[in-house]
Amino acid sequence: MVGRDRVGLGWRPELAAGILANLDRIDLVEVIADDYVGAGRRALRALRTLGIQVPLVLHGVSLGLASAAPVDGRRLDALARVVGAVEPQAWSEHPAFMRGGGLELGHLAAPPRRAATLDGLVANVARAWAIAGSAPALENVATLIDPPGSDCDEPAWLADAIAFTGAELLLDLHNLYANAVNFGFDARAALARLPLSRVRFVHLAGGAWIGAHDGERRRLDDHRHDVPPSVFRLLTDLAARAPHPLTVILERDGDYPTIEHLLAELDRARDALAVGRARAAA
Amino acid sequence: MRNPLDLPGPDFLVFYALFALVALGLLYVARAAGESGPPPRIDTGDPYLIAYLRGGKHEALRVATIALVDRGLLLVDEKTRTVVALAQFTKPQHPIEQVLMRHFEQSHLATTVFGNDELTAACAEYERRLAALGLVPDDARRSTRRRLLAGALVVLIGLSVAKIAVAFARGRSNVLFLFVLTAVAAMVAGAVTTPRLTSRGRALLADLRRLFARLRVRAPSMNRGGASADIALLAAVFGLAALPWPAFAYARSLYPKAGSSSVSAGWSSCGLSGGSSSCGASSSCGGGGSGCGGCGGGGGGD
Repeated sequence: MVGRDRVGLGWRPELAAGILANLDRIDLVEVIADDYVGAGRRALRALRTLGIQVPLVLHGVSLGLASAAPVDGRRLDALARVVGAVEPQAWSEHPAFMRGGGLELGHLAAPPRRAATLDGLVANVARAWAIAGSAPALENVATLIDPPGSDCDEPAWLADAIAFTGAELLLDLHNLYANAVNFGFDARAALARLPLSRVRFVHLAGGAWIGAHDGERRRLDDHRHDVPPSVFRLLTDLAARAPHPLTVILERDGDYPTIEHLLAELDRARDALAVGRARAAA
Repeated sequence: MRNPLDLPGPDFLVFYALFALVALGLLYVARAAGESGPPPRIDTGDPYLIAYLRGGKHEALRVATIALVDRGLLLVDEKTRTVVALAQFTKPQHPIEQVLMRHFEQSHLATTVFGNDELTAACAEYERRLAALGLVPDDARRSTRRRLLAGALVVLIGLSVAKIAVAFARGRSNVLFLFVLTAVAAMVAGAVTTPRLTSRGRALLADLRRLFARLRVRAPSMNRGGASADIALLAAVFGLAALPWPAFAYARSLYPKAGSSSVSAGWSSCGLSGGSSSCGASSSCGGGGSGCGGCGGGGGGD
């Protein structure tokens, strides 16, 4: 394996001081690209300056690539402008359904896992690739409801999505874990069915248990809690199987703990990776 | 085309003012173009380097003192404006901190740090590092600036002297306005060619202010002794004036003249430099429904 695993943190302005004061323990940052859509020259220059201080990747959250309708051209152009200005090491988006018929869902909905959505995703990724100059890595999304109209399960659909788009998979392990506990499948078995040779980027996050209408509980991917042990175990499994160096990014979007707490979570991720790599080498 | 030196006095003054504006504009562009470039990688873990970039030696020493007070290593007596070390310093994060702790082994006025030779030497290291990065002028850059200034002065004063000579040759002696205008133009030329920072340094400082803008917004919620990295960087990037009141009132007590050293360090400074990214954002949850934090809305998450 050429290269080494990296562990970084999602860039949030609230964490800026802590991140920049601890770059010796943070290998890279992931910036929400949509924060800079429509931003002026100076804001983009500042972001570029950040990218000089620390390796930087961009993460999009609004394209809604998994739709039968073409992704909005203006939205895509604006995102491509950010990508072009910042020249990140990589950028990513979600194979999610976000809008249709003039309505905005307001969140990243898991699309129906069927051929039609896959065709739309392939077309949209190709368009994004052409306009931005590089393909986005595609991140699996968490969901509280099993997408209606689906004719295959998530690992199979993701494998097809990655194969047909030519994109890489940004594997969000908490999303995988949440979907597994919400819909009763084995996350580790699902992980094994994913195209792990196409995984270079990984998201870690935390979530919370909430009650559902059926009286069951569901796992909500809220990014406001610590990464659960189960997700670190999935990271170890992934590191044992993935042939490429992994770039692991911890996402936190609220209820911010101290930077030392987040750095400790990064250390746990490093430990989990090391255990997985050692298992692979054994 | 009429020889400008033949213009009547008032007309020549207008001509000279326009000529000086153009010359000064070109001088600015020539100076800035030679000093610009992509931002360098700096040690963002050293807040005193950033403070030095913003305001020089005095700002670095002010920020370092306040950071050590905030970490509980220095004790402040606000009445006497003195500071004394509280503990042995076994693990300095930066060399300047060790020198500061030695300085305050005995109780001293906070402002005595400015006259300490050892601290001056420690700060000189920051100057050297910033010059090596092209953020403040090094010897070569200062030499270039001097040449640019000399050229500008030759043009500005030369034209003025030529007109005065013509005026005297024609029996006129009312050259006071031209003399004043020339002096003003020369002073502006001096200011244009001697900023403390290079264009690259100014751009980097502006970028840092933008990246840390949210830190300033949430400054009021910061507590004394609560988050040293935040406090030190807040003061380094925005000046002691950005520290929350009244938790850091002692900073004003220690360094009441902080405002005179630089505009951005002033106690009266206000407003964000550059603003921050939109609130909505900074969440990887997407969509308009999630607001500023968290991904819970609707069940989708990334």
